[in-house]
Amino acid sequence: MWSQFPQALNGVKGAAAPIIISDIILRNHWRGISIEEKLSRKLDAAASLTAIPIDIALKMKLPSKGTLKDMRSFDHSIQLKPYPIFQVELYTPQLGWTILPVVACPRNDILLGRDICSQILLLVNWRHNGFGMQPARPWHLPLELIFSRFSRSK
Amino acid sequence: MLALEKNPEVEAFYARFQIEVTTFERQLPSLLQRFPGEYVAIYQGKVIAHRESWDEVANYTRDCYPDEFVLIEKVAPAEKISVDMDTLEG
Repeated sequence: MWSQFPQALNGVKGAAAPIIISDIILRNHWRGISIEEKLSRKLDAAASLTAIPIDIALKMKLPSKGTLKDMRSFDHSIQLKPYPIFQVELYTPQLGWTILPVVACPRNDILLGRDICSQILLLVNWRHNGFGMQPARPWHLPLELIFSRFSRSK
Repeated sequence: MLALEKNPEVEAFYARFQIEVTTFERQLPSLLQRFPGEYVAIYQGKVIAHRESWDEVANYTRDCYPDEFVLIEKVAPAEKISVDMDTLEG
């Protein structure tokens, strides 16, 4: 269940490197053929939509799902060009297969947005220097109870 | 950040994509009158299909244009979709 914390990547210090997991699968059914791509991904709690590499989207012949016309940076100061949106089947460990629209752009890995992250509970195991993921839904109520007990005991 | 190589196939795609997006934006007022709420498929600057659901249009384009990029858009008044992303590219 536990993955190791990221190591140094292209000169980025390990502590500053993004969390990268290598077991995500994209799938498309095209003319009776199932096309699959396995990629690494970054978790990003700030991105609203999941982003995938544009070359993979084209290679997999993903169907168009419109255009993202008004993309903005996190501080809303930079307006970016329109990006294509595609429909894809996406496999995430613990969550399974989901059909969702994703934005395609020039990048090397998948950026998991809040559309996926909001369903995940990220667990950190500091003692073993690792982390893992669980579906969030079954944990909502127990965690709410735990944290409400903490807030009462303060 | 990893360096992204220029991919001619991707560059060509963006050129085609821009044409389809411009076509849709230019034709949106007339599409709103003819096919409001429907999904349209746009290929090489022309509207090639319109259906009530996205699945129907996607199946049509998959069958008739299997190797081509066909833009599918919903015919609805232009709305600004704001997506917060600070690390979109790379």
